[in-house]
Amino acid sequence: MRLAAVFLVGTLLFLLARGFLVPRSFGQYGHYRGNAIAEIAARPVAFAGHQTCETCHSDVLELKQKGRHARVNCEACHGALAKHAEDPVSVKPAKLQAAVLCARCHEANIAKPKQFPQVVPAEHSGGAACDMCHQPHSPALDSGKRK
Amino acid sequence: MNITRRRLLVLLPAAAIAWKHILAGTPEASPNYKLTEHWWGMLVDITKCIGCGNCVRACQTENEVPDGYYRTWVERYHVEG
Repeated sequence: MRLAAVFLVGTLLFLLARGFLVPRSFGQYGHYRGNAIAEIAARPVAFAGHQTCETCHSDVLELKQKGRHARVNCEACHGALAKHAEDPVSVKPAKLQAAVLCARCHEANIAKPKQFPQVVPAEHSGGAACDMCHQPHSPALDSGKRK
Repeated sequence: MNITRRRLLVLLPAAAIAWKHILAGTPEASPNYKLTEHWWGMLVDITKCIGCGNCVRACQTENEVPDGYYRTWVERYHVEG
């Protein structure tokens, strides 16, 4: 009897503490705070999306569409630039390092799909920067040598 | 501990107050939302993955995860044989 009473009081105390500690909207839609959806939606976005980029940079879009990078998103290489899209005059994107960015995808790795173009950068160019020969927006050699 | 009438008189209202708090802590009902009608899933075709890590980077950027606090990564293994 005594044990049962202690157990009951313990259970009640646990439920009471739980009632205070678990946020009010928890479990509203699932195993998370229902309020979190609105909170996350209210946060500013970091990525502008390629459609936004293309409204101004139509020349790049035209060049890109001819080459094999046609379906690579702008911000995949240029980084998240929603701030630049909002205020193109004062927020300028940082200069890109071709050697780092090209290698990010094209560095040889046996686990990558075989048909995907891969190089060992040191062997492929002997240390020369990728964009000496390739135009990153349309990388095939004949399609866009740097002027 | 014998439950005397006196103790019961103290315990019962306390339990009632506690129960009210417990009920207050349970989530509001969302009348038009049925949990079982919303099964979310995500498919990733890993044969197309080139391992650039942009998915990881984008998640980190968009969710403003500070450096050193990120625990989601994609690893590549090559299994011989």
